[in-house]
Amino acid sequence: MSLTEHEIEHLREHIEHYPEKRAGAIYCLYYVQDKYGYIPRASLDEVSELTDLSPTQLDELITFYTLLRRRPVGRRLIRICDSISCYTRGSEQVLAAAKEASGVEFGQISKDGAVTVLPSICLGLCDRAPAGLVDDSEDLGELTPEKIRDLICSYAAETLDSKSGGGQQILAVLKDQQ
Amino acid sequence: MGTLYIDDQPVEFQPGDNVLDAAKRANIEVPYFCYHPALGAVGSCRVCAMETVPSREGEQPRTVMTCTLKAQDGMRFRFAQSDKAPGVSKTMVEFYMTRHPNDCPVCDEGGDCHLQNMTVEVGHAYRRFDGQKKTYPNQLLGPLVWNTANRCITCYRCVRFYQDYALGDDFGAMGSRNNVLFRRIDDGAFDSPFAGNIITVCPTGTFTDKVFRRKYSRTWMLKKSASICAHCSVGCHVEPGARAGTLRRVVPNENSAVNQYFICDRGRYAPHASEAANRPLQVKVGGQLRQEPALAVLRQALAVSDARWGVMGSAREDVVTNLVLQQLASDLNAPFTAFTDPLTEVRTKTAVNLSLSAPSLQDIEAADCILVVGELTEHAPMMELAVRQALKQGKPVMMLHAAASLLAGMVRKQRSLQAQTQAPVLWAETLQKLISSLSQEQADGWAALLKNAKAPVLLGVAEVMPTAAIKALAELAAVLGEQARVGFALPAANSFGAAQVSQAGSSEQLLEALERGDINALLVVGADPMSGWQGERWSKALAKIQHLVVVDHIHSATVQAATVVVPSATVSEHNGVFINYEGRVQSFAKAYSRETQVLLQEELIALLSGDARARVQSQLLSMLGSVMPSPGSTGSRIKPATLPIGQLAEAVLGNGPALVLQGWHGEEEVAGFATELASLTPHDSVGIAPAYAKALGLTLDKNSRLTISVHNKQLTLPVSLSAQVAEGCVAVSRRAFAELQARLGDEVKLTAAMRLSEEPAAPSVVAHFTPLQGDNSNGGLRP
Amino acid sequence: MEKVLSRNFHHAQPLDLATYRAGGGYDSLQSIFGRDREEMVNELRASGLRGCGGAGFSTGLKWSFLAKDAPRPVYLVINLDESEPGSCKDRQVLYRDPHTIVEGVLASAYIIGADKAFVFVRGEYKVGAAKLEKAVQEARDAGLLGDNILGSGFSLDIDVHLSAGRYICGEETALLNALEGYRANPRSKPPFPAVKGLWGQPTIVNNMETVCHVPSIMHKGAQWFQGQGQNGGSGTHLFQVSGPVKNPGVFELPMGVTARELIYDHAGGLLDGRKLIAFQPGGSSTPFMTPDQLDTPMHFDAVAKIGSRLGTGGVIIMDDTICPLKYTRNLIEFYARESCGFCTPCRDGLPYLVHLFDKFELGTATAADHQTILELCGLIGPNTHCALAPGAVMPVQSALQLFDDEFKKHIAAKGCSYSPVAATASQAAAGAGVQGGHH
Ligand SMILES: Cc1cc2nc3c(=O)[nH]c(=O)nc-3n(C[C@H](O)[C@H](O)[C@H](O)COP(=O)(O)O)c2cc1C
Ligand code: SF4
Ligand code: FES
Repeated sequence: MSLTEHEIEHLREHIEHYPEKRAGAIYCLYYVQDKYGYIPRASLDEVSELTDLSPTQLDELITFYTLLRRRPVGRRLIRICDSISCYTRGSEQVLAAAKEASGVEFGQISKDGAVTVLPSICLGLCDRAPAGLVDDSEDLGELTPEKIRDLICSYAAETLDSKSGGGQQILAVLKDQQ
Repeated sequence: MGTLYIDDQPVEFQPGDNVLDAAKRANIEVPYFCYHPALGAVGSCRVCAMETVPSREGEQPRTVMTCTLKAQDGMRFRFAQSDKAPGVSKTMVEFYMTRHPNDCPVCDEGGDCHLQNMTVEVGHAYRRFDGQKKTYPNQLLGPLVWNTANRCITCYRCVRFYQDYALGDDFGAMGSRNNVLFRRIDDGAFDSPFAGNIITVCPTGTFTDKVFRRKYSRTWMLKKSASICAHCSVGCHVEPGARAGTLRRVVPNENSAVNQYFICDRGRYAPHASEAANRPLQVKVGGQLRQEPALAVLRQALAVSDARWGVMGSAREDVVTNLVLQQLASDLNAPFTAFTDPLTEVRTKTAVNLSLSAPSLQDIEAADCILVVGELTEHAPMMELAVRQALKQGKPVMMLHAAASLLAGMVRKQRSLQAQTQAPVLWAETLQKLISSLSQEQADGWAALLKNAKAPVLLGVAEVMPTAAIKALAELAAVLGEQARVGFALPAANSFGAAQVSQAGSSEQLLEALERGDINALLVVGADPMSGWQGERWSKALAKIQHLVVVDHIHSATVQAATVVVPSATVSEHNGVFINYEGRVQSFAKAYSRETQVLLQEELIALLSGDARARVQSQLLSMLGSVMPSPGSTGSRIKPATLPIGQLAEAVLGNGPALVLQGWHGEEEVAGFATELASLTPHDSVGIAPAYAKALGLTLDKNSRLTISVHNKQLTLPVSLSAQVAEGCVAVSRRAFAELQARLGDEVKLTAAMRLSEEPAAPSVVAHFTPLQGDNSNGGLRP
Repeated sequence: MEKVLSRNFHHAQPLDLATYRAGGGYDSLQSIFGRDREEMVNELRASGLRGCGGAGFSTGLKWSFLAKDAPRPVYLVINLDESEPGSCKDRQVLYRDPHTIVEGVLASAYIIGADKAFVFVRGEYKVGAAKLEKAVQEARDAGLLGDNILGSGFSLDIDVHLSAGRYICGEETALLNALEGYRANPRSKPPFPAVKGLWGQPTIVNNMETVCHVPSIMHKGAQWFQGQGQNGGSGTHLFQVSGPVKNPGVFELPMGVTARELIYDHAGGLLDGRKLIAFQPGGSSTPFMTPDQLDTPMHFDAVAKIGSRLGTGGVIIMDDTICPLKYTRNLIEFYARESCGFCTPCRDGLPYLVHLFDKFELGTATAADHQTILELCGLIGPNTHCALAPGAVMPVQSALQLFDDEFKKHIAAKGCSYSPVAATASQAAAGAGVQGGHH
C-alpha cells in the first residue's frame, strides 16, 4: 500500500503552488482517501514526507475535518442531512430507515460491505429536503424512508467491480478481518 | 508605560502588556486558564473576562478578555463577576465542571490544581448541571507522563507548549467541539526532550508525572527546596520534592535568569536515580556492609599507613566539595584532579577560558542568528530549547555536526538553511574558512548571515569539539565583534567550577602517577573514571592499587571496583554551589534527609586541618567574590582569570571511518541510573550516512548489521542509516564506546555482519471495527 | 428586476465559455479594466451592496480597509463554504453557472488589486468544485486568467480549494486557517484579514454571491443596482425558502421583497393544511420572525429593525406540526456539534443547553431550568471567540420569548404535549413522514 512515483510527483506539484507546504496537506489526504476509501496509517507517513507535517499533525487535521476518515467505509457512503430544513421535512425518519436498512449503527460498514450511513450537517440541498449525498458526489433529494430503503437495497446488489478503487480495498480489508 | 484602572484601582502597565499582564503585576487576582506567561494569550478559556466601564454617555459596558486586550492609558475595567450574577468567569468554571470529574479528593493534582483554585476563587461551589458527564479515553504516553483525559479543560496549553513553544510534532490537538483531546497519533513515549513540561503547564491533572504517581504524596506534604539541576551545565532552577526521606518529584523553579519556567526531561527525571534499587546507601568496606557512620569510615580509610594517595573530585560535584578535596590532597601531599579524562579536561578548560561572553538562555532566545557546533540537544537540552525559540521566529540557525541530533532535524526543515555534517576533525578548518570569508567584501552563505546579524550567538559542545574547533569558534566570535556572544555546553553541571580547581593537565598527571605506581591509593568523590573516555586506562591502573575509596550515590563501575564505598548525598540531599556554563554561581539547598545515613559532601571539610579549612574559605572568596548567592536567587557571573591548560594531542584525520558520539537527550552519568528515564534509551546501533556507506562499498538497508573493529575489540550492531551522520564518520552510543574501549575520533574498520532476521512482520491491522457510538458526521470515522 | 446571478439557470447544463461570452459574459471587464480602483470602490459603496455571507457588511467599505500601499501579495478569498442550515444559494451558482463566479472573482480581484484568488469550496460541493475548476481552466486557456489579462497589465490566477468539511470553516478567519492547512479554529481579531490574513498578507474574504454582484454593478452602475431593489433594499439576492412549503427553492428577487411574497408567491405557501408559526429569515442562526411580520421587507436594515437578521436570506419555515422546542433543540444541537472546540462557552456551554432542552422533552425540566437556559444564553452569546455561538443562542433567545408558554407547558405536563393541528393527509402527500408532536 503505497503511492506510486507518479502520484507522488503529482502531489508534490500540487503542494508547490502554495507558499507553505502544509497548505497542500488536505489535498494529499483527500488523494489518499480517494485511492483507498480511507486514510490508512501507513499513508500518513507518506503524506508526512511530502508536507513536512508529522503523522500526529496530520491526524490533528483528519480528526478535525469531517470529510476525512481514518477508517474504511462501505462501497457507498451515504450522508443524510439532519439539519433544520431537512429535519422539518422528516429526516429523522429517513435516517432511522437508513440505519435499519444498513443493519448497523451509523458510521459502520453494513455486513455486505455495501454501505455506510452517516448523519450530516446541512448539505446545501435545503430546497430538496430531506436531502442526502452519496460518495460526496451524487445528490439525493426529497428522500422518504421508502426511497432510502430501496436505494440501500440497490447498492447491496451492486457487484464488486461496479465501483473502482476504494470499493475493492474496503472489501479486501473486510475479508482480512474475517 | 501608562495607567489603567481596575475597579478604580490604578494599575501601571509596561509597553506591550495586555491588561491581564498588568493586572497580574499589580497583584490583582484575575482568574485565567489558557494564558501562560511563556506561552502568551489565545483567548480560548474566556475566564479572564472583565467589563469595560463606559467613558461616555450612552456607551454600553462590554465584556472583554483581558489576556488578549492591549493595555492602553486610561482604560477602565470592572471585574465582570463582581457585578453580574453569576458572572462570566464563574460561568466558564461551571461549564468546565460539566465535564470535569468531581475527583478532587482522590486526584493527584489536588493542591497543585489551578482549576481547583479558580473554582474556589470564583465561588462555583454548587453544581446545577445534572446531565451525564462525557468521558474520554486516556492515552498511554510512555514511562514519564500519565494522561487522565477526563480532567482536561481544553485550555490548549499543553499543545501550545509542545508544538508552538518547543517545536515538537508528535503530540497535538485531536478532534473538535467538546471532543477535543490532546494526544499523539500512536500510544507511547514522547519524542521531545521537553515533554514533561506539559505536566507543568497543564492547569489540571490531565497530565501528571508518572514517576511521582507511583510514589505519590500530597504536594503540601512534600519537603521542597530551591535547588539547581545537576544533570548538565545549564544549571536550571528546580524544586525537588521529597517525603519520608525519598525523592518524589522534581519540578522547575521559576526564575528570571536561567531556565525561566521550564526544564527538560533529563532535569525532571534523572534525579530519580536517587531511588535506584542499587544505589549505595550503606558503607561498604572490602565488600562488607558496615554500620559505622560514613565520615568515620572515610577518616579510617584515609588513615591507612601504607598509602600514597591520589584524590579525584568531580565536575558533577559542587565547588566547595572540589575545593575541600583539593586541600585534602595537598594535606595528603597527593595529586588532585576533578576530571576523569585528559582530553575532556583540556577541552573544558579551553572552553571555559573562552566563555567570558557566554550568552544566557535569554540571549540565545533573542539572538538574530545562531551557529551551533556539535549535537547541542543531546548535551544541553535547555540551551537547545532557547535555540528553538530563535528558530521558531524564523531567525537563521546554522548547525555543524557529526551525528544525528534533534536540533539538526529541525534546522534541516527550515527553508534554505541546512545543517551541515562534517567529521569533527574538520570543524576547525571549516570555522577558519568562515572567518576568512567574513573579511571578504561579498560574504555569502553562513558568513553573510553572521555578518549581517546584530546579535549573533555561537554555541559549541565542548565535549565533542576538538580544541582547535573550540578556539576557532571563539575566534569567529571575536571577528564578528562585540555584539557576538560565544558559549559552550560543558560536560557536567559544575564543569566550570571544576576547571577553576584543577591544575593544568591534572587528570593526565594523576593517571600517569597511578600507571607509574607513584601512588597506590585513590580517593574518588562523585566520579566514575572507569566508565569514561579513558575507562580502559583507569581500569587497568586501578586494578593494580590496594586502596580505592569511592564516595558516590550511584552504583557506578568505579563504585563496584572500590575497596571502600562511602554513600553520598545527591544534589537534592545537600547544600552546595555550582557554576554553570556562563560562569553563573548558583547555590542549591538541601530538600530532605535520607533515612539511612549518607555522607553530606559538606561534611568532607571535617577531614581537613584547620589551616586547610581557612584556605578553602579564602579560595572560595577569591573565586566567587564576596557574594555567595542564596538558594533560589539567580546568582551573578564570575569572570575568572585565564586557566593554564597544557598541551595534549588530539585525533587527526585518518583514512577510515572515525567514531563519533551518538548521544541522546536523556543521557548523563547519573541519569543512567534513573530507571524510567533510562528505559527510553534508544537501542544501540551504528549510525552511518547512506552515501558514505555506499562509498565504502557497503550495501546496507534497515536490516543490515555492521561489525566495528578497533584496537582488537569488536562490536556488532544493527545499522541506522541516517543522512545526519557525517561523511567519514560512524556514530555510536557511549555504551558502545565503552565496550569498544574506544575514544572520540578513533579510526575503525567496518565489516558487514549477518543481517537481522527478516521474518515477515505480522500483517499490520489496518483498521479495526469497534462499534461507533451514535456519533454523527463529525467524529464518526476515527479509529 | 433583471436576473443577474440566476440569468443562466434556464440552461440544462452550465454554459461553456463561448456560450457564456455570447450572452454578454465577461463584458463587464471592459468597464473595469483601466478604471481607477478607488473610484470603483466608492461606486461599490454607493451601490449599497452588502455581504451575502451572513453579516451583511458593506462590501465597498470592507474593500476600502485595504491599505493602498498594502504589502504584496494581496489575496482575495471567496467563501464558498455555505453550510448554514437553510442556505443553499451558493450551490446553485456553483453547479449551474460557474463562469459567473469566475467573472465575479476576476472583477473583484482587479478592483482590490489582488495578486491571487482562492475559492474555498466546501467538500460536499466536490462536483461543483470540479465544474468551477473547468470554467477556470477555460478562462485560463482564453487568456482571461493568467498574466497580463486582455492586455490590461493585470495578472491573476484562481485556485479552487476543496475544504475537508466543518461548518466553522465558513467563519472567515477559520477559513484562512483551513486554507493554510491548520485546524480551522478562528483567529483573534484584530488584526483583521484586510491587514493580516492569508499567510499574514492582506486578504479580502467575501461570500461567493457578493463578488458575483460586482461585475454588473461596475457595468451598469450603482444607480442601476439600487434600482433593482425594493422597499429600501439594493440589488437582487438569491433568496431561499425551505421547510414545509409547497415549492421550496432558490429565487433571485429584489432585495426588500416582502417575506410574504417570498414565502407565499414564490415558495408557494405552506403545505396544505399547515399553519405558519414562525420563520427564520436568514439561516438557522437568525432569530425567529412571526406571521405578523410577514410584510417586513427582506433587506438587512428592515429585518434588523424588527430584531432579527437577514443573514444569508435563507428562510426556514416552522409550521404548526412541529413542537417549537424540538425545532429549537435541533438548531442548538447543530451548533454544539459544529463548535470548533476552541473556546469554553461554545464548546461546553452549547452542549449544556442541549442537555437542558432534553430535560424539557424528557419531562424532567423545572422552572429553574427554564431560567438557566435564559441565563446561559446571555453568558454564552457575548463571550465567545467567534460569532458561531452568538449565532447559536440568538434563535434560542428568540424562542424563549416567543414560545414561553410552550416551555411552561412542557414543565407542567412533564414532557412534550405538543399536538399537531395539521391533517395527517397532507403529511402523506408531502411524502416525508413529517414529525409531529408525539414524543
Ligand atoms: C460560524 C460562521 C460560519 C460562517 N459561514 C459562512 C459561510 O459558509 N459562507 C459565507 O460566505 N460566510 C460565512 N460566514 C461569514 C464569514 O465569516 C464572513 O463574514 C463572510 O464570508 C464575509 O463575506 P461577505 O462580506 O461577502 O458576506 C460565517 C460566519 C460564521 C461566524
Ligand atoms: S465560538 Fe465556538 S466555533 Fe467560535 S471559536 Fe469558540 S468554540 Fe470555536
Ligand atoms: S438543512 Fe438539510 S440540506 Fe440544508
